[in-house]
Amino acid sequence: MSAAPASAGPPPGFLRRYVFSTDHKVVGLQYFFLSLAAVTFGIILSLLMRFHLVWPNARLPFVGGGIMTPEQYLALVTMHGTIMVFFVLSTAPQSAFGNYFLPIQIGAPDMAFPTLNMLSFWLTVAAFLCAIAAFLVPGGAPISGWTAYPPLSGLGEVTGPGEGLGQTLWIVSVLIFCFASLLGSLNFIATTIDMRAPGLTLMRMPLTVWAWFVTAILTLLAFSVLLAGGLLLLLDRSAGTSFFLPAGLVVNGEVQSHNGGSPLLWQHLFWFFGHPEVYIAILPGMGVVSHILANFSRKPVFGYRAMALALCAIGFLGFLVWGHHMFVSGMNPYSGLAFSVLTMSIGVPSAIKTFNWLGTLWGGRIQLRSPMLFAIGFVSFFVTGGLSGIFLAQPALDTTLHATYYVVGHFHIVMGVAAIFGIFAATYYWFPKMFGRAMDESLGKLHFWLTFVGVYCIFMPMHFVGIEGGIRRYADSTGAHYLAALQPLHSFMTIAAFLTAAAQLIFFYNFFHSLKRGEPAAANPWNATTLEWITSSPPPPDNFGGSFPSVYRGPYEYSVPGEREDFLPQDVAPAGRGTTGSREIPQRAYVTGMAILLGGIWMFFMALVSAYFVRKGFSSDWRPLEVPRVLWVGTFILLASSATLALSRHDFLARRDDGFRHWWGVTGVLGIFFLAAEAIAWRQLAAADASLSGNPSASFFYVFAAAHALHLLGGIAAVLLIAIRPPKRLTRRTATDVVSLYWHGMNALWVLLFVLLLAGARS
Amino acid sequence: MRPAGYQRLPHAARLAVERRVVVRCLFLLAGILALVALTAPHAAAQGCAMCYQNAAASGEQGRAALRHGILILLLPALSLFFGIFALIYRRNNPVDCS
Repeated sequence: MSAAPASAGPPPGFLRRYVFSTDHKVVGLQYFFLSLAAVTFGIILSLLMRFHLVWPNARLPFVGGGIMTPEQYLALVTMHGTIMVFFVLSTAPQSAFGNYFLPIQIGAPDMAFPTLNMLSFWLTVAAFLCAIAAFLVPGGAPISGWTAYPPLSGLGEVTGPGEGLGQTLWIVSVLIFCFASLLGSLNFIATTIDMRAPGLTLMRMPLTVWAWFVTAILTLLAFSVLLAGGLLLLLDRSAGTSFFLPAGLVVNGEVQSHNGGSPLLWQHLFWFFGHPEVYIAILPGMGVVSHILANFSRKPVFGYRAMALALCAIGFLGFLVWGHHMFVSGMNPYSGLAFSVLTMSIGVPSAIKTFNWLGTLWGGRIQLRSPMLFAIGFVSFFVTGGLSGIFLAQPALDTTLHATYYVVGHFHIVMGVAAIFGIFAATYYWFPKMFGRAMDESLGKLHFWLTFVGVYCIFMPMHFVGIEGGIRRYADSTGAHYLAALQPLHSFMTIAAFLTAAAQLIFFYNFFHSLKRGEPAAANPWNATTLEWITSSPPPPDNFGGSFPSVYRGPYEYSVPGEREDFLPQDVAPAGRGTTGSREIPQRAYVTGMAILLGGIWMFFMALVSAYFVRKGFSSDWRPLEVPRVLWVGTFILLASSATLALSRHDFLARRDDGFRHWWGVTGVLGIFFLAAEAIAWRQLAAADASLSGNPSASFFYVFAAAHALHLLGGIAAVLLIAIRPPKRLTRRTATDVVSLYWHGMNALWVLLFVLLLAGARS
Repeated sequence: MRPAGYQRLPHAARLAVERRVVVRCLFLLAGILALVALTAPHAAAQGCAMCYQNAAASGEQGRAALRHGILILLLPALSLFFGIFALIYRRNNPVDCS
């Protein structure tokens, strides 16, 4: 009944140690360097855009005809947004720093599922390469923006260069990224729930851990919906379905064959992801900044409990903001009222955080080191961006401003720059821990001031340009008289952008120079209190050298009266340090992980079900689909498989091995029978001329059935695997628990889908 | 809001009194907020004017479909959100698994 112990030393061989490593620290660094490459690429794209806005007729050597076309400009806009949102803002704060420091801060040897962690990283690399490849295919990168609104993104090459293979690659990239993020998020959640050190209660968790945990929940819920939306969009493009594409579209003189779809359905699904995405980008930064402000003020975080609850509240309300997005007249006025109040109340936890950051600084012994400067910069940008957002919260103003540079300035400051300042703060703060050397302080401060001033010079004028009516996404503003008047401001912003980008070279020099030649760093150079600082720099492979800590105090015990030093590490017990010899992945973490995975899968299917209702409601071409009778048989077989699985588990608990094996095998066979019944149903429908692209009800049937069948196939594979050779890390009890949970979850899901299909057949 | 003789109560009893006071204050605050909310004007579509305009133009059937679609996405999301928090709350005090 024993689980595998935590790794004792680094794995042998270069590939296993540095490339396909399962060590969370290596994976974290891999994510970090991937983000570094992505942000460099994203900045270059933005500089090209800024250059073109000021000198639209300049000839650029690497652009096809020398002068950038409007389509090429839009491709830059799309890819800049995509790369920054997905591969920088969603990746660096959560996947890079979270991967590296979450296990150490909770006293664990690794993530709960190290192999999954590695897989998640390499899938992200594949997604990044897929996105970049869009530049290299005929037609180039897509022009539909990072929001990929249909019909533009759904019709294919006919709508313009980049909308052919480039757009397909974009969608595939996003799908892979979603999948990778889902795997990553379930790892974060299970690790935080089940891998914490003894004594590390919720109210002793560092705020960084709180932030990564809440962000992981948002990722799980939001990315599963984007995955479903992306899948439907891909089907519209490649299989001729009409989920998002309306009838009667004429593009370049060609009548499109799609019918009855709703572009609004995409907005519905996309913004369910899009709104929480803002918090996915900013929440880890909030955690890091709270952590750093306390450290360099030598004070406990002001209102720790309120800060933790505010993080949870922001995550929770993030979904309700979306919910209110598309509610319109005709609804029950009281539910509208509730949504209004809840939507506006998201300002309350944000204000609590800002107030508590200032409270933490107030009266502290402030040390203006590089991480602290960037943390204060984060607060400045968060407040500035938040204040400009208040105007956009007014529908009358938003209608006027939402297509202008005002919005570009607002979201760049609050979501982009603030989050990136959080990343910089984290880099300067944890560099000594990650690499065992210190970054140069003078260069760090120079980098901060140039970037801080430079960023304000770029994005503050954008607000004025927007108020004056400067429209975003226009490749050339010189054509219209009133827009031409704004050119001097554009020139100023472009020069500021180039100078700010040049200032980043200081960071790159400092970073890579310090890697090799920085001053050697002590284990705890900042005199900090959390668990990452009690281990060596860089930490050993199992994080604590076999001597795992227990936790006795809160995370921010600075300047405690009566103590000899002004900080008390979390592992200091009243009578010396408490450690335990080894720490293993608890078996229940696997069950937790499966429960979280099931949650993500259900969310994915709920997105499809939601799409079903919206598409049906908007449709004038919906024809009820007669559900084949063989599916009734299949459904009963599937329900019977749940019963045999329960019998198998019963025999297992009663230590009747023969009975266990017998019923376990029967369950797998019944699963195969169900798939066979589903295949027969497909054939019958195909014979009755109900094709995937024919009618929306048939389209949904095929999507539901195929997606469920694929998931069930995974369940059958797991059943067979357990029967033949159970995984080494899991006890047999855990393995049966995990598979049973998955199997029953998938069966319950099928019952729901089947009832939905039956109801659809009658209306 | 404290009873007479509060100072003479033992520590545990004083804590219980304090807790009752806090709960009453919270109820009072919630009541005031509810009253304020009743006077709030109908706010719409923060942050995405295009979504709102498209939805508003979609006709009664479309709007009903959207309402159902929103609730179908919202309810499982919120259930999972709270479910995960309930799980971590139940495991607030981690045990030593070594």
